[in-house]
Amino acid sequence: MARFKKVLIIITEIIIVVTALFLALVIFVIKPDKENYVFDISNQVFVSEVIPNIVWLIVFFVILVVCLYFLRKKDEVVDSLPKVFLIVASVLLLIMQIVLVYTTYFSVGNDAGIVATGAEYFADGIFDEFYNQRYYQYAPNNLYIYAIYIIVFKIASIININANLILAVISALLANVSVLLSGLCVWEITRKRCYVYFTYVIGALLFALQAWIVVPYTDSLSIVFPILTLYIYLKMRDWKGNVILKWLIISIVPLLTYSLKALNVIIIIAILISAFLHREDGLKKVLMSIAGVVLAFFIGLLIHLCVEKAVNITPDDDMKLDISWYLLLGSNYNTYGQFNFNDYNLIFSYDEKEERDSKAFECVRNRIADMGVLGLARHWVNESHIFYNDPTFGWGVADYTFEDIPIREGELSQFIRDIYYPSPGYGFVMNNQTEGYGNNYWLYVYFRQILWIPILSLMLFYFVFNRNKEIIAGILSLTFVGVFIFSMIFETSSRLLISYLPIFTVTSVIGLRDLVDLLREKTRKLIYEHTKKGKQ
Amino acid sequence: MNTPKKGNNSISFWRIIFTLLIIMLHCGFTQGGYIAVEFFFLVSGFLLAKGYYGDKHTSLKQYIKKRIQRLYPMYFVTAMVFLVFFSILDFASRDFSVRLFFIDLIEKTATNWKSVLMLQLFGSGPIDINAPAWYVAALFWVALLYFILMKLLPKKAFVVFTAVTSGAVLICCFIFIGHLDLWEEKTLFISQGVFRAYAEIGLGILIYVIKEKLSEKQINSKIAFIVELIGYVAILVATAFTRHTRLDYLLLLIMAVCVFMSFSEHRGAFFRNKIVTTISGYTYGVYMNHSFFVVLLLIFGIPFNNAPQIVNLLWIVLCATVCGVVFESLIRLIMKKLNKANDRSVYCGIFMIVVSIIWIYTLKDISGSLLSYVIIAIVSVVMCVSSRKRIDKPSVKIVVCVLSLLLSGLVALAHYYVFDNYSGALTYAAIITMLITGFFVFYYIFRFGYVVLRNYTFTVKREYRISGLIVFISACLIYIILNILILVLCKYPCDYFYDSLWQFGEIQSGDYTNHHPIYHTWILGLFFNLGYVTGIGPGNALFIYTVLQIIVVGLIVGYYMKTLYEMRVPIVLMVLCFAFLIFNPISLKYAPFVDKDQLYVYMALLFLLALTRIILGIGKVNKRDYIYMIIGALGFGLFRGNGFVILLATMIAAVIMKSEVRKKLMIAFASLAVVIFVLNTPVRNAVGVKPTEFSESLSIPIQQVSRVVYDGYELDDEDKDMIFALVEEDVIKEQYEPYISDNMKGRIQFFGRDEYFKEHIADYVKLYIRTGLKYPGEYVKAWVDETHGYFAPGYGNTSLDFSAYDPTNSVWADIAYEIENDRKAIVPGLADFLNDYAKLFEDNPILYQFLEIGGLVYLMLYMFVIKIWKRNKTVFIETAGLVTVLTLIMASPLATSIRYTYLIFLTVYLSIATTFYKKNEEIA
Repeated sequence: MARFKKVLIIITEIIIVVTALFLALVIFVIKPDKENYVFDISNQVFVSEVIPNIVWLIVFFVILVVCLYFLRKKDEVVDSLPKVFLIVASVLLLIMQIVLVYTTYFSVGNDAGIVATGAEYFADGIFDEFYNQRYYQYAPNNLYIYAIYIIVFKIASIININANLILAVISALLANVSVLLSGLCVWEITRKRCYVYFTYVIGALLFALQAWIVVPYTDSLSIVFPILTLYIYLKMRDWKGNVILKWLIISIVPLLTYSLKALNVIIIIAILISAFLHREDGLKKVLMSIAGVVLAFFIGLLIHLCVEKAVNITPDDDMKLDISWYLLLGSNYNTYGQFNFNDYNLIFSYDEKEERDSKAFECVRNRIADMGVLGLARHWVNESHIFYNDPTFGWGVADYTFEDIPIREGELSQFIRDIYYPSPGYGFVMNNQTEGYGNNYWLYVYFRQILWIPILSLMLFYFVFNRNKEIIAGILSLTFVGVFIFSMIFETSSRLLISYLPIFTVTSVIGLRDLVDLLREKTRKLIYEHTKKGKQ
Repeated sequence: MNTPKKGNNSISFWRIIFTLLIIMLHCGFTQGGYIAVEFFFLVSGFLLAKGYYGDKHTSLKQYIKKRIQRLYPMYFVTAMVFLVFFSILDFASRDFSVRLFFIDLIEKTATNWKSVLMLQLFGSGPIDINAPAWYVAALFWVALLYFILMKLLPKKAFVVFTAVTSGAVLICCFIFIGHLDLWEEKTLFISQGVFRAYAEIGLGILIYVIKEKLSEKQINSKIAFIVELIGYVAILVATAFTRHTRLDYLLLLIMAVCVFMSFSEHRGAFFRNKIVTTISGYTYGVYMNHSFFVVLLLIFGIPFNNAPQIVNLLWIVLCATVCGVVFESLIRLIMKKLNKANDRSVYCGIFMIVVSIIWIYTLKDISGSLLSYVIIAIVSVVMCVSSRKRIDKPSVKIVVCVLSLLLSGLVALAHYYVFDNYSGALTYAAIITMLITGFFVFYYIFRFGYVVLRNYTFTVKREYRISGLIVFISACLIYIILNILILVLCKYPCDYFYDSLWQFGEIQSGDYTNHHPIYHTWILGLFFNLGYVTGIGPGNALFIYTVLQIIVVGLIVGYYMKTLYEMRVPIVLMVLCFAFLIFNPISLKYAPFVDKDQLYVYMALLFLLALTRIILGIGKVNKRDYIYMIIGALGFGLFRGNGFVILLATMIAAVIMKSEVRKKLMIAFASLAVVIFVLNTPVRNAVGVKPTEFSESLSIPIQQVSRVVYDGYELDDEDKDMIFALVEEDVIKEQYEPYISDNMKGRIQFFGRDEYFKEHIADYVKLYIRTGLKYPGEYVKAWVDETHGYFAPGYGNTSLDFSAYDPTNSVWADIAYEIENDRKAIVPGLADFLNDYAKLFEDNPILYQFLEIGGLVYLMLYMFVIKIWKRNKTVFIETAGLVTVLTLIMASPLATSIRYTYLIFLTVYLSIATTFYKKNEEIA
């Protein structure tokens, strides 16, 4: 049994390292042949992607070195959490977020628009066959968000505040909590104040003050759940109470919010695998912990049924779009796995679920056969680029993202919209929805690329070079691998990363700690040897 | 609903169950769930008697304090939740505004004062703010009554009295009402809920007395448990079916027996676990919060009115629990902190919060930024709470009172128009309220200044490693590079405005006046001529001037940062100061600007910096500092009309405060004053420069008399003729503007009436006095409208347009076109970006605070007073700022202008640094 566990651990580590290296190749070495690359100001095919990424990395590390110099005294293991810092920073961040949200919110089109329309009808007591019933029969993954929208639309109609604004504020709040939780997670792992500060700053810039917070869709609303799960796990890992209760509490959040975002379960899967590989308990406790997870699953299912009942949705298995649909999208090499209407029409040309599934799987098989092994690898490279080499996470790429931008007087709004809205000149913003805005959008893109590439690099460093065989290393690595596999197999959309940004931030900060420790060790050695030689 | 006692887990458990029962009742689940309240009254009565007879030391004051601390915070929070909700509801038919929301909230709080103060059960009026809170009010007042009775009466008499009276009340209710769901309806202006509470708390007390009597007889714990369980279950079952029947009274009796059993010795083992105890601690919070969500569900259908009832119940329990736990935890945290704090500071803080709210409320209709006053009020509350010390010297107390009254009065005076909203006696009431509340706000700020800040100095925590020279070079380079970049990229050759063009016109025509400082015009002339002589044109010549100006200012910025660094001020202050000098839109606008004021303020700053270094002995004081002082003084005295007066006042202030270099300074100042005076008048006259227009310094009298005519007041024909000889009646009627005197003054200056005005000045003085005596109110209004920006916070409005000046309609258009020929913009978008950036500060209420003048003037005054108390030798810094303001409130042509007060914006950091400066001998 012990040998089996050892083999499993080794296999897992190999998968992690291979995944990380593959990503490094994608980001820093391979030049893909795709046209709609977001980090491209002129919207021409980007001639050189590698050099800018390395330049950003250098820029970031220069800043980092300066910060580390000033924070060198905080790089000590201490007992007390920087509470005052966390409270003050959270409040300040919230103020900034509210300003950002207030000045840039708009009504969103696409699926979020359909859900919003349906919710508005529901709140007004109107029933529409498509908006209030059929849509959720084939997209049950939007059921929770529909329920949330309904509540918000009802409140908005009472107090005469734009519902989109309230939703955006909720989304901002969740992002704020996520930054706090990221800081707390890093504290639990490192017990060093300076890394909490780093996490807070990086988190705030990367996901709490990003443009996506004004789009209260499933991605931004579920940002808090993976990191909350991780935090609960870190807090409860040494809990000596009832094992069933312990695992129920740990797994309840992702299993409850599975209906909001399926990706949320990756973290609990990673935790379960790591816990299993590192377990020291007997079989009884393992079974008990599984019972806890199963119980959480049933509670999640029960809540799902309650919500379904509350919002009057009658599920229809024949209409439901599930794994086959996302596989179909993910295998489309012409669109690099992105949403497209050809696949949409294909899947909707069949009425019965079984037929639809079989045709979809057949199509997927054919596509893979067409591509061949090298073609598949190339397809994955392209997918990875769309997924990981876009610091805006697909901001404004989808058609009708900016459904209706409210006119807002005041310079602040124009000023912030100029930075946060993509200008129509970017090409991928269709229908000139953001006309008159986005004059300084380049600032936003460049700034985020400077931030995002080093975060990825630090994560890679952590996965490849971490010598710490702690359980947390396994969880963070497996989470990344999970997200990576998900992105390779299913629909490619960079925004899917948003909900895992807090986890990635935590990972990169721990990577930074390892890097700093490594450098310090090497320098000490050098200095030590130098002085030794000098004495001789 | 008190915190559970150790060992009473049975009560804790039933507390949770009955709280749930009440929530179920409000969600429409049970018929007679109201009976749960009886449980809480009985338990409260029992615990009251137990507490008093078990520990007789509790005084009435202690008891009230304890009860308020336990009950009122949550009560207040939940009441405010409702009031906030109602205030937001008011916006259902209009656009949301933060300002209106807070005003509405204050009005609603004042209207519902009875509900806020737990008095809703008495007098007329319905209970409409958090209805279930009636229980807390009833519990508090009735328990207080019982406590007083316990104090007053011997135990036996009290028991008999309680038994008789509560029994009588119960019997009356039984006969005349017939059920126990009594709370809202009022009998004799007292809610029936009070009678219900009286009877049941009394019953609880009696249970305790009986239990005490039977204390020797041990009840079998198993029997007690079975009786208790059956009793409670029977009650729960009964509530599902009965409602408003006389059965309620039977259930009450059963409940009394159950409570008796619950409190029996050795009880509670069955329920003894952590979860029950923990949840039980939050039942009060859950109870107080649930009704808000019930209202949302029943009235507004939130979240889903068609959802299964059980889902709704779970939702309400979940929301109420989350809110209850959050509020309860926060309250406990705050109460813990408050209990540690001194009582006086707590009461003082509460008092000041109320006073501040009233002050802000009286100022709600002002045209300026209300946020400035909110900031002042917050500072006052914080200062009031932070220090409990009192002012020991009566003389200082008088000074503080006078200053507070003065500032409060100035604020009221600046906003005299607010009182037009009131009529009759209410006007006086509003004025007095604003004055008194304002007085308290400023009083605590000044008190803090005396008791705390007077003794406060910056502490130098660690050695500074970088030398002052590096700081100087870095700051200097950053400023110069940034501004030259802006100049080259989007402002080439320079920025200018109407006044600059006027100066260019004078240079070209050779017809010089001192309307704009002649020395500055001459310097400009030098560059202009250089442009013509070398053939590069005036535009390029002005570019060279602007670059030199940026370099000179950059050097002074470097000198400023070096001085602050060598003073070892906290890094935060240095960063703030540098950020202001670099990123403030005022700094960015004026850096590439051909403007006399830019040089004037920086020369004044140079003078103040050099003088500060000399007097405080910062760094290595040498001849260079004296040279800088002299150069600064020359610019200070020559580049602005009122500069010489301000410089003189500053010099006097520097000499009065006895410093070690006093004698040296006296000689230097005397020589400088003479030189500047000679350069100012005799030299100017000798070279034939026309003096400044006579009417230029009479802006305010001209505005005052114009105001009387504008408002249509009666005047003698002779007076009218005299006034209209200067400015025609229709011009006054059509063009008079209360905030700017240019329309009236310009009529005199540009239509050649200045000489006539000067010749007949004696007659006009008499007219001015005559009219003033007749219409003093109009004079005051005109003066306030013309100057309020300098003595009242909330105003800083000045256009910071970064776009180039359009000279089309100017008299000097030809020169402007000549300059415009050289205009190039490498990055035109940058100018737009800067413009957006400046407008951002003007439009946004928070960023607007950085452009606000009055608040800074108050800060300067504050620092001035603290320095006087500290016997600080650098009061001349504040003197410069305050005398600037004084000259402006006597003769300002514009109500608010940052250009005139820019010196205060620049020196405020130096003022703070010198106020709390501590000389470190080792460093020096």
